[in-house]
Amino acid sequence: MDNKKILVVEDDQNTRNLYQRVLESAGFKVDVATDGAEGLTKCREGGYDLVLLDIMLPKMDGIVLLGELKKSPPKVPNKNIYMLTNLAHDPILKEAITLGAKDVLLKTDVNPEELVNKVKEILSVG
Amino acid sequence: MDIKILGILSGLFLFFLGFIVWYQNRKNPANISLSVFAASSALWCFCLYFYENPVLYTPRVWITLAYFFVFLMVGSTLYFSSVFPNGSTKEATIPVVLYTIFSLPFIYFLFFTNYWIKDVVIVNAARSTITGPVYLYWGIFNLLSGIFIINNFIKRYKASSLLSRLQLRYVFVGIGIMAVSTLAVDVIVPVIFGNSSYFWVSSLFIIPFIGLSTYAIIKHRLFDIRLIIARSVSYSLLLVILGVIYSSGLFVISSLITKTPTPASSLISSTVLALVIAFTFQPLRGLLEKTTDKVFFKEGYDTESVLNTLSKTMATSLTLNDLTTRVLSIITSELRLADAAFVTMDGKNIQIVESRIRNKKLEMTAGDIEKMKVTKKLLVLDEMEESGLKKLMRDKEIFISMPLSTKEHFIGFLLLGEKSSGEIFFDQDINFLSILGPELSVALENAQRFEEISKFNITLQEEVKRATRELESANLKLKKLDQVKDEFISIASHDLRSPMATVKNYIWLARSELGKTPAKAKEDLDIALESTEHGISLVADMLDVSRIEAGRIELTPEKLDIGHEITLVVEELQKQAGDKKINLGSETSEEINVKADKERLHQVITNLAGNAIKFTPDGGRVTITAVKAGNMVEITVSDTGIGIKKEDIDKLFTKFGKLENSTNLPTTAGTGLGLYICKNIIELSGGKIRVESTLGKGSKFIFTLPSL
Repeated sequence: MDNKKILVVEDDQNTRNLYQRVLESAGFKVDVATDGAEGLTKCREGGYDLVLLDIMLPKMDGIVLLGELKKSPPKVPNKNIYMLTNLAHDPILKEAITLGAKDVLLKTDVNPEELVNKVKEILSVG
Repeated sequence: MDIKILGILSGLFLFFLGFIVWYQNRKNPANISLSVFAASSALWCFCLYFYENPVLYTPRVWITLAYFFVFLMVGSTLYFSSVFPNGSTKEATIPVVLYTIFSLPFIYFLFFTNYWIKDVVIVNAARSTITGPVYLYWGIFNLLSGIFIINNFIKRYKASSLLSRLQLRYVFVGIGIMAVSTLAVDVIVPVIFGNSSYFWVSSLFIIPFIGLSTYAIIKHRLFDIRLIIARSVSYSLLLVILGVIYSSGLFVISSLITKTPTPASSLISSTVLALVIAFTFQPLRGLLEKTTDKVFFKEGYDTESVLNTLSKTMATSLTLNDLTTRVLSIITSELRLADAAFVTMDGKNIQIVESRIRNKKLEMTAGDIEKMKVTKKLLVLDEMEESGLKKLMRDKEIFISMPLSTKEHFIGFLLLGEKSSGEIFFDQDINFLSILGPELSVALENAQRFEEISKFNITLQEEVKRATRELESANLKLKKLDQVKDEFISIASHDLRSPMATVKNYIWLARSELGKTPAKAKEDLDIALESTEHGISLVADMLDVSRIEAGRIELTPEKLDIGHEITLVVEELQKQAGDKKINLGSETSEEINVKADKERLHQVITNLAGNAIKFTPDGGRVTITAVKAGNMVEITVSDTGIGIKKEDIDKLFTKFGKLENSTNLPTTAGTGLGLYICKNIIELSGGKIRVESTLGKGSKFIFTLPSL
């Protein structure tokens, strides 16, 4: 389980800290990015088992990030990209799926335990 | 003058007959062959006549030509007998080709040797031709051809329908009589009795042929030309009668007066000339009359028929322009006027339509019209006494002015120029105009009303189109608005969800840590509390935006000491600034009063100062100052923060301001509504807001308020 790498792209400090805390205590290796630009740089390095990507981000939003990533994909691909957001605007969510996200998770829908379970399910461990 | 002239007349009639047969159906071989027969017979007659009364050429030449035409006569009969009545040329080709081949040596002998015609001499005061040995053979050749033709005719006769049989019978008998008698007179008599002085008689034998075929044409619809013949008969009779009267008259007169007989040639040519004159008289007269009528006066129109024409025209013209133009054209041509014009009034609008464009355009002022309107009668220039009105009409070259009005309305005038002939206007003209007047007035009024309705119709259509366009654009705006609203709701719900998610997560964490690590649980609850505050202020901001958009935000301006208001905010934000070790202070040297809503002013300063603290790195400085600038007060919130890019400054004050590298979404934490609300509050208070920023050094938010 130690070798599963997760990237959390989240600008809100409290939220970011929380996700990092619960995922790390579940045994995952967690990397974070605080804005879209940093998120893109890390995604381009590739090799993450899961990227949890917010949409409303400073410097570059999550949708643009997906587009850029699609234009020049990393050598070692990221296995899963999930949107983790509070935005429920259908056209934008559809666009995210078209650009390569596997699914969309609403932040208000999952508490930390549920999130960990969902992540485990995605990564088929535990 | 003798009976020989009958040959000529028969020839002319044959020509005529042949022409009509050919003209009736120019492609049918039967028609063609019969008309060739008729034409060659006619020419044969002429040649025989000129043989007896030679003109231009010697009798020998004429008799040679006569023989030549016999070839054509026999040949065309041969052809005719093979194609009548079906018109199929299939069976005609071989006989005609054979006939032509056998004819060629005879024609050679005829034209170039003495073996046919040895000489032409006068014997016992009669012209006779001495024939050579070939002549007999030619007679036999013709006899054989004749037998072939008769055989042909009989075959066809048997195979024909009843009507064709009747037609054929007459034609056949006619040609038969002609052939037999000609053979007798021209071949048998000269060859057997050596007397060739009766050649001319043969030309008379075409008369039975003419009679019989004419009978077939009239009675049995031969070639379907009965109608043409019937129409032509009177003309031909006239021709013949005129010719006979003229030539015999000339003959008698010249015999009586000059005592010398007129030579036949001059008799004929003068008769022909007389006929030409007679038959060109009528059309020539018409043509000349037309021409002279244009130049000279002629009282040449029928009042009733012109009125009739005009009535029809008026009934079929809908538009004013069409009506006036057509009526003018009829009146000017019938009354032979140099020009005419309509002056019509529609309200104050004067419209002039002229029959033709003159060097000087007719111009009428409202004053001129008033002057002419006075009498309400038809005015004839020549009959008027000297007056201003007469002078006016003379200047405008108006010879007749007819006012046009219905019971209710005055419509205008019909103005006539002078007659092309220079003649005066007659009673007929005046009568004509007085009858025309009322009807014309009604027609003009109708046309005016029609145009009004048409115009109204067009205006209405345009009005509808414009309204439709407005509705369409309103609809488009609404659709856009709907889209904006949709987006707003999406973003608003996102922004409200964010603090709630944080609250939810941290309370969940706190609960799980409560027993084990109470200090950590307290930290989590603090975060949850902070997020709750954030959520509350967000709802307040959204309500503000909604109020602003609906125009329902209410300000109660009062006199405020700006220094005091700034100090209040500084005190409130001191803790927040202290957390980031930011030096927050204010600089106001004197007491400055502004006119503003107390709560809203507080909200604006708090927002701007709060933003400044948020975007300034730890240990920085945020300063709030206020100075008087004319009748305004300038309040500045400056920081030593990260600064804002030039291109982003304009977007700052928009709702959910979009910054670089974002599709359609706000990217800063916070509501993205604060600056939008500030700007609106400031503007509603009578001030303005602007930003000065240097990237990396800091920003200045400067706003103004009216001073007091």
